[in-house]
Parts: sequence; structure tokens; C-alpha cells
Amino acid sequence: MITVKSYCKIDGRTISANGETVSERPDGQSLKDWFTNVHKESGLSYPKFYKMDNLSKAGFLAAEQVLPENEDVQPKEDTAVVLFSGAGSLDTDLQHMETIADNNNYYPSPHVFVYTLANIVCGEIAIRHRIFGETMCYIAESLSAEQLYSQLLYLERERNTRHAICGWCDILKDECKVLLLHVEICPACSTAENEEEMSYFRKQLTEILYSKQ
Amino acid sequence: MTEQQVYAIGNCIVSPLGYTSDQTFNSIVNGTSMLSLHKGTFDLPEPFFASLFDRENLDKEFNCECRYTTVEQAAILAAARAIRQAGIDPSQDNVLFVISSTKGNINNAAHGLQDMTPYVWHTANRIAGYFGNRNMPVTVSLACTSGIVAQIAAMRALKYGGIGASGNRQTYRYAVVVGAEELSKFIVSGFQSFRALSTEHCMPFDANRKGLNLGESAAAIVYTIGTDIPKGSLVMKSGAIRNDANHISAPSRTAEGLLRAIQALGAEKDRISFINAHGTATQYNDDMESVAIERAGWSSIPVNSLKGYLGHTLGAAGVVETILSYNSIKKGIILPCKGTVTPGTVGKINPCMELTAQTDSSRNCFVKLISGFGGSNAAALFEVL
Repeated sequence: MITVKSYCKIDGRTISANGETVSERPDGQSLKDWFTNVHKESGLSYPKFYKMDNLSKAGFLAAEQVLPENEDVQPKEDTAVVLFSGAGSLDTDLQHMETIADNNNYYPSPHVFVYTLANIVCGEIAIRHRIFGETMCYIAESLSAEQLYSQLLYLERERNTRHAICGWCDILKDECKVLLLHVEICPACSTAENEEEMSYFRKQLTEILYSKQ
Repeated sequence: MTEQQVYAIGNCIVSPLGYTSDQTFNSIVNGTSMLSLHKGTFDLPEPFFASLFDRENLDKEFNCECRYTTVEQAAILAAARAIRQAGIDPSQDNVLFVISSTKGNINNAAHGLQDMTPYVWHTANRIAGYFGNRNMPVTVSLACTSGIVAQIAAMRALKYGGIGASGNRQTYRYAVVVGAEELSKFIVSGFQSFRALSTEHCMPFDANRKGLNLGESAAAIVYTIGTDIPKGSLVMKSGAIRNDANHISAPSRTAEGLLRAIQALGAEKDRISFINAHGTATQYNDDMESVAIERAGWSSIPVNSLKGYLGHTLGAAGVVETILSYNSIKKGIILPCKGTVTPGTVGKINPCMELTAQTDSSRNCFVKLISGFGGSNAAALFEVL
């Protein structure tokens, strides 16, 4: 049985959690500055946040929203991070490209290059929340409830994951679309046929997707 | 009822050492490597030591008037040959493509984002589309672990099926796992900025190792599921992915993620012929792997790294090295680490230093280890029937 416990959505204008607005982006503010302000206002002082690229910042902020405030920060192996992305790390890829385009002005940086991989955001979430479980990252043309559900179903069948931070995390230039869910996975409580569970999950996901917040 | 198992029915490596698995494997058994110093290649201001495709030759081998990039040509060639060996129709709906490439066609974005080709899902669609397959390919992006993660994803899809676009259950009979990577100014400049590259031939697990060598390759494995498995087949027994939760570019000193992945495999120590490690020849990676192996209680099992033959082929590495290890078990040998002179790691391990015969026929399993940026680690257990 796979149950959505909480969710967070970020688009170019709003960050919301479980239907409530968390932050609205002021006109003319860059994504980077907006994310930095949200982090500051949250009262959480996490120095590594400032080094992150926008993809990781977005995923990190969304994960803060979906995990309970009184979260157990003990190491946990029963939690997975499963993310899908369309552009992957392209936003940072383009920045790295700029540093190497001209051999007379050549300045590739390890701090940029490390973020030219789509799964770094999974790693940042894992570090922050001490998740030693599975981290998975897929590149897909668009968000698909079916693909996401299939991956969660596999985790249920493999029987060693109880929680997953999962969803869609996509950033390119000024465009941003994040839908992060905290789902609970209970292999022992699966009674319904998969079709029934799937249609329920799809309904939930569709409602979350199309709700304004 | 006997449990259904996931096993391979076709494979192919396309590498600078040859365009079939046999060509590549035989070159390696003979100790051959195409690793060499490249000056001015890809317009890089600094020279680099790597194993590269002969692009003209690959183009000839691909033999098609159609426009495909180097990574696509290598991937399609490997997949086509693996599919031919498997004798399956890749356009059928019961065939799923699983693609592993860390940077795909990133080179197409050298002058900015002009079209969709630098999106890795686009590259995956090109590869699956070549074979007329209509399922949405699964594209994994887990840095250097991708080649093993793709095989784990394929194994799960075959075992548990999937959910189709209409919400109905979908089952797959075959999964075509394709790992492919071409190098470019993008990748080499980044690794150089990290100071992760050696300017000489790499020395996996050596006390004086100075860094890794990059490489280009593609490889494909066609998996299926069933109970009636022909003798000599490669069976994927288990696979696990775990995070270090420690640092995005430095592995855990205590190998938290890799050790957990190893422990999740359920491997019987006495059945393992060798551990095919990631063995990139960087200080941190090789020490971390040695710690994981020692902590797992596997210090006596022979360990090899194949990076001295083909370099680190990034998204292709897990697939390429699985096929080479499979061939090793079939031939009853353990391949040695090439480039290693004086082994020296933090953890106690048993690096294979010369071509060794495996005389114990009950040791017909191997374990593949792999790690990458983002704290990712994966391990897989294979058996050769």
C-alpha cells in the first residue's frame, strides 16, 4: 500500500505545501535569490545550501516541507529518494559550458561541475536527512503518475523501504517545476489489487497536480 | 515451482578495443589497452590520458547514411548486436529499453540550448526509436553508478512489470539495457578541474595511484525472465543501491553506502570467484571500496578493476564490466588489474595482479561494485550457470 503523507509544489511563482502557500516570489527576483530568502526565513541554518545549484536548492527546500518537523535525524536505511527530471542538470550544464567555450577565457570549476549530474539533488536530500537507503534518479520527457507509481511499487515489492521522498524536480533557466511527495510504503497492508491502488494513487496525484497550490 | 530468474540472452560491447564482446574481452586477456595521451583533442587546452573511439572507423562500422552522434552510433551498434544474439523482435511492446548515459549528447549544447537533443530522454528515445520500440524508455541518471542501476531497474521491470499509460498492468518479457558514453570537452574539462585525472596510465588500488583515466564505450545486455535457463547463462541474482549520506563528491571514509549495498545482496562468500570493483584509481574511491570489502569480511576474495584497459567509461562502465566479468567466469579466469604495481589501500583487500585461473568450479558468481557522485553506491550479484 502506497499512501501520500504530504506534498510540496514549486513553480516559477509559488512554493506551497499541502495546499497552503509557503512563499510567493517577488516580481523580478531570480530563482536563486528567492530560494535563498526562503531558506533564510525558514530559520534553518544549513551552510551547504548556499553552494547548491538551483535544482538542488529547489529539491532541498521541497524536502524540508514534506518531511515532518519533528523528523528523526537518526541514520535511516528504510527511506528512499526517487526523483524524475526532464532537464536533469541542463541548467548547470549550460553554466559549465560557458566556462569552457573560449580557451582564452577558460575557467572550469569543480564547484559547478559537480552539479552537472541530475542525481546530486538526491544526494543533497540524503545528506540533510541522513538517508542511507536507495537513491534513484530518472530522466523522463514529462511527469507520469504511472512511471512514478511503478518505481514505488518496486520498492514495496523489494520490501526494505518504508518511506520515499519522490516526485518530479525540474529546473531550467527561469523555469521551475517541482512536485515532491512523502509517501509511506507498507508491503504488509497491500490488500487491494494493484489496479485499484494505482487508480487511487493516480487520482490523488492528479488532484495534487491540478490543484492551484 | 522454481522461482523465476532474470538472465541474459544477448550482449555486446562496442569499445575502442573492438566492436563485439569477444573482440574486447580477447584484447583485454592479451593485456591490450587503447589508453594514451591526447593533446589538443576536443579543443582541450590541457592534454589528457584516455581511451577514445576511432570515430571514422566507428562510422564505417555503423554503416548508415542516417545522422547519429558518436554516443548514439555506439549505443545502437551494441544494442543491435545484443538483440541479434538474443533473437528477439525489439519493436514488440513486451520489450523495454533501459538507457544509461551520464551526459548523452551534451556536446550538442556547446553553443547553447538550440534543440532538444541535449536532453538525455531525447537520446534514449533516439536509441529505442531506432528499433521501432514504442514503450517510453527508462533513462537512469545516477552518475557513474548508472550502468548497474540500469540493470537493477531492468531486473525489477521484468520481475514486477509496470503500469501502462492507461493505468493497466503491463508485463515485459525482455529488457534491453544500454550503457553508452562519448567523451567531450565538457566531461574532460570538468574532471580536470576536479584534479581527478592522472596524466599517466591509471593504477587502480596502487599505493601510488594518481587519479583516473576516462574512456568511451557502449555496451548492451538483453535480459529476460524465466525458469528454464540455458547452461552458461548470466543470471542477475540481486542488486542494491544505497547512499553514503555524507558528501556529494567525496565518498564516505567508512564506506557506509557501499557496505550497506553489499550487505543487501545476500551473497554467499564461498560462491564468489572475484569482486569486480569500480577501481577508478583515485585515492578516495579505491580506499573507500577497500574499506567496504574489508568491513564486509571479503578481504580474501580476489578483487579486480578493469579501468586500466578501457578507462572509466562513466555511464557505460557498469554494463561493460558486467559483460567482461561474465566472460571471465565462462573462461574460468580472473582478469588482473592493469597498471597496478604496488597495491596499497586503507582497507585490506586481495587485488588480482596477474591472469589467474579459477580452479574451484563452485565459485561461479561475481559481485560488481560501483560508486559515483551524489553519494551513490550500487552492488550487484551475478551467477553464471
